[in-house]
Amino acid sequence: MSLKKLIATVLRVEDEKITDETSTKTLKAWNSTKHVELVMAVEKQYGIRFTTPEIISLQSVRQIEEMLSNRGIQV
Amino acid sequence: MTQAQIWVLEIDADLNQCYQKGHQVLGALEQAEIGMYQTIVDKGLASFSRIVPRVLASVFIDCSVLPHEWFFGRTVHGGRYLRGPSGLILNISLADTQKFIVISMSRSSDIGVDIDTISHDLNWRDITTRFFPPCDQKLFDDLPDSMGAQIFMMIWTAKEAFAKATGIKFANVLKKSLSGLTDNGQWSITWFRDDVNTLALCAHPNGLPFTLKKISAASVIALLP
Repeated sequence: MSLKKLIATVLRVEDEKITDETSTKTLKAWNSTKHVELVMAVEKQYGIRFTTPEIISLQSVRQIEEMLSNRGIQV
Repeated sequence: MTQAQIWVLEIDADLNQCYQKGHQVLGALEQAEIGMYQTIVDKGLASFSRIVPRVLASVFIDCSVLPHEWFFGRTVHGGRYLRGPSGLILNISLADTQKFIVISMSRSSDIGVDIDTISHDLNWRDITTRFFPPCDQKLFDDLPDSMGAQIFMMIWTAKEAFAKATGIKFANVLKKSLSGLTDNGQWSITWFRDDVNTLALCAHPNGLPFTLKKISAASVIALLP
């Protein structure tokens, strides 16, 4: 599953609502419980574990993409 | 004397109507924050949750200040406040679900509030295992799912309210134990619950007691100039 599709699935929104700019400040659906669910879903899909500072900074789709890219994961 | 006030608003009105009637009271920062939301529904909720504190502050805190005369600002930690022309500062915290908006205000205390609804498909056990400290995880040992979900919501909303009150990032607060949130009496956590919703308030003890009022969104819209 693509990252954006994964995010849309966790946040329970239409796929087209998820863009690189989608963030906790642009979608009410991206609340605190959904955020941790998203963290766990990304960790599970890509076989990684985020640190607490990384979880704090994962506030947008772009930031998640960059974080994964920094770990050598292409999405 | 009441130090903090909490309003629970049931969203029983057209929030777009609220925006049409009330957007002129909003400042530039609020308009910019609302503009970032992607959907009309979210913009409506974001607008309403920013218009209402101004109206409530003018009606219940200082009636000499009109809603548009409050200055809205953010602290360095992202907390909200309103400042009146006389310099009166109101610390504000907001939370919302699809059905309710909760607004808390205090003159004397940093304050944080959160409301959440028990969702039957929320995998709270996995969240607890991944994010909570061992002492909090032990609270769930041998609990049936129904009770565990309620306990989870109380811990979750308490931690989020604490994060909002203190400015500490929520991911760091998740690692703190529930009992550690009060920080040796520096903070107080209070909950309100019904069958579905859990509301938590975090404030300094000198910010208490507080009053809680339940009002309808329609009645607030009626107060708009």
